[in-house]
Amino acid sequence: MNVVIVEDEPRIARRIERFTREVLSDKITSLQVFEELEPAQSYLAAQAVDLLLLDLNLHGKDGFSILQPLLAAPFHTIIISAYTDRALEAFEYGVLDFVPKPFSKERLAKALFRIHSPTTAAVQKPLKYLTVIKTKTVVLIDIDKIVFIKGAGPYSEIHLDEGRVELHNKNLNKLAILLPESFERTHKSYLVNTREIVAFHSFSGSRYELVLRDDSILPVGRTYYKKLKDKWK
Amino acid sequence: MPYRFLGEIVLLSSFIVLAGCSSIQESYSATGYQLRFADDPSLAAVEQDSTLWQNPFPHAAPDSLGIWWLRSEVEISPGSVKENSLGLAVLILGSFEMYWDGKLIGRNGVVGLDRATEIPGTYRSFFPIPDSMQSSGSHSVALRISNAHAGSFVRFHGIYLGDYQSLIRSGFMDTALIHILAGFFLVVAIYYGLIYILNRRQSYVLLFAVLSLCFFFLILFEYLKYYYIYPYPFHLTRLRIIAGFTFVIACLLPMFYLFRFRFKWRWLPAIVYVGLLVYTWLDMRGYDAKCLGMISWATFTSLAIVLYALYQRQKGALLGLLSVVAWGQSIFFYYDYMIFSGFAAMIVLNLFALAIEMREQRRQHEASLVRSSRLEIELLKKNIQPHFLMNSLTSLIDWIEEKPAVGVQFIEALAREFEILMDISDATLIPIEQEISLCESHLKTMSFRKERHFTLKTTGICAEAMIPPALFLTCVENAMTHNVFTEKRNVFEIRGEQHADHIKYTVLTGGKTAKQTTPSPYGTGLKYIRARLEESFPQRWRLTSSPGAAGWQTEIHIFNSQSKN
Repeated sequence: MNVVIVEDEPRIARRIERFTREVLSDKITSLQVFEELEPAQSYLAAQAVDLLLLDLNLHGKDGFSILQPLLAAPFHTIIISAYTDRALEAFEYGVLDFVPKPFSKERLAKALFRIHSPTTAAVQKPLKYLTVIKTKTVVLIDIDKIVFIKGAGPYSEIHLDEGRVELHNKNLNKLAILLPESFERTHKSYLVNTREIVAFHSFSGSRYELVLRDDSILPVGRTYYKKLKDKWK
Repeated sequence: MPYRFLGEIVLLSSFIVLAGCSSIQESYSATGYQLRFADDPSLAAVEQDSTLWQNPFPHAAPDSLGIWWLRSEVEISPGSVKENSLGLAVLILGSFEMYWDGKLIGRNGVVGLDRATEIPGTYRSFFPIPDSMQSSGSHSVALRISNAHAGSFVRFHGIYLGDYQSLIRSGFMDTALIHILAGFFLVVAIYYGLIYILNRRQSYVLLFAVLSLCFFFLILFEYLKYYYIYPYPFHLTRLRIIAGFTFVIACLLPMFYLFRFRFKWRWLPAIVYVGLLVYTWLDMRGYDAKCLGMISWATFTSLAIVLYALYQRQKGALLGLLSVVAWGQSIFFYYDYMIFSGFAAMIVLNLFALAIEMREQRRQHEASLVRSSRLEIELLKKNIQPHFLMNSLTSLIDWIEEKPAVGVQFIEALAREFEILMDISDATLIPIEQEISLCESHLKTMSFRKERHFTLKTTGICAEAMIPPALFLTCVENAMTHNVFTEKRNVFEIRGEQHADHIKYTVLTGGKTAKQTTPSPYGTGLKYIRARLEESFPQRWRLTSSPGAAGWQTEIHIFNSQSKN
């Protein structure tokens, strides 16, 4: 796992680095610390990074305009900030977690664990928008407009109502962690907004299908079928 | 004009109407006066050789007039003999004996040849006519007069025949009504006098109070004659007092407008105007003429002043014009009730204007209080704002975990900074030394956080100088937040330079200014500095902020109170 830390106070940066190494230990393949945002941004653009731990002054307009393009990137972002009053807003735009300063090792560990298991993320995920970069500009997608998401290798195809499709840089696994509970994994390549489901068909030979409100028909994976059935009982 | 002032105006106009209705005397003025500058008991007789008597009346006479006679005819019409007794009222500067149809019916003082022998009678005197002598038809009135106490003045203001009770009461109604106005003037004088004493700011407030007080005294002395039946020598004193107050009023009226509005030139026109009034006083003959002359000058001068203020579009100029017109009309119409009611209208209009102005001042004052408390809050927020506090605490926790001894030093530095901040938070100006120690403690705190050495160098600082709190600290904080420090040792510098008309402070910060999308990364910080400077040195400061050779350079100029930039 490649981790990047951006923190302008060296002592705090070292503290984040120390805790991250202790928690993730041998999962880390590389860890870079930047004191300034600019060199970090160029590094992030050039390298395949999995996680960004970012100290960002979210006060004022600039904070969010810096944050939004980062959230469209393939990696997860955890904000470590003193401005706790902006935490909710940060969640709405799709940060993995918001760690308020001052922080303990336990709190940072909790944030780091979310990368792999959405179940540990006990907090209600107030995500409202998915951020995508479209011809170099940031576009916000209202998650209520998403019908389903289809995995496409390192990317995800976001199918919206009225047949529009947007491409997100995060893979399906990462989006699954960020999206609220109304989104359900129905197949290894599909994430479905459960509110859009209108019918559920089962065929012989353990073949299952979902019919959505826009008449699209999606296959249901065998492993997900039982979970879905339990939930829909 | 707001409706709440309509009441006063209606009240004032009703005074004018009432005063006009209750005419001076319900009586018949005697006519066809004849004089004889001789003394003989036979002159009292009804039958006289009219060729020996003279008319008209001399205004001034030689000092030694001695004893002289005045006679006239009055007609008692059949209808005028009512149940009430008839009487005579005489208005004259002199002592006299009153003869009705040749018979002595009363005395006013004791007639005498000179000041030693004459005992002065009253200016106004009243005589009942014996019932037996009230037959209808023509009657002769003759007065044997001496006026040794009047100097060269001969003043006779008439003989009036009428109902005796009414003659005595005449003028009471007018006096009562006009004294309501007098009370109004007195209250205004006291109120604005107190406002001036408590504030001592605007000279025109004092002028307004003195004017109102003069109006009060003018009414008092003008209407004194109706209820104080004074010896006739006092009449001239009374006229002099009235003329004196009129002089003061005529002086102050244009002054009030001159100082009420903003003009470049004040004292020169004021002096020229007073000179003009003195000339008028000396030039005019007779107290009434003097008074009318002076009030006329006051009217035209005030009118010129308010018209000029109106031309300059000054605040309250229109109300000022209305107020001048309110009293100025009296010189063209009736110069008695009209001037007092005009003055009252002027006072009301000016009260209105002053009230508006005071409300404006109070608003500004309140706004400045709000501004000050907001700045105080902003100052306190500096050290409890999350960016400072939470980052400090995070660093602190780490120091304590890693090197507790350094952690303790850090806590001490942080405590010192908070301590100074609490000391200065409610002040608008603090000694510059305190500000410097605040900056030093902040730099020490930041040294622990950034793990770099931050030191402060000061040159040319005058220890006694006072500056608004957290002025330099804001510059230092800005640099800390926005600059990038790559060097191990960073020196900040505060330079003071004393110039002839101003003090210049330069704050030089270390580090490199980080590239930002906004034109100046110091926006909010500079806003605080500007607000603080304006609070303590209104309109006499200058602030420049630009990238320096290293870090950021902020220059603050504070000009001496006499010289403005």
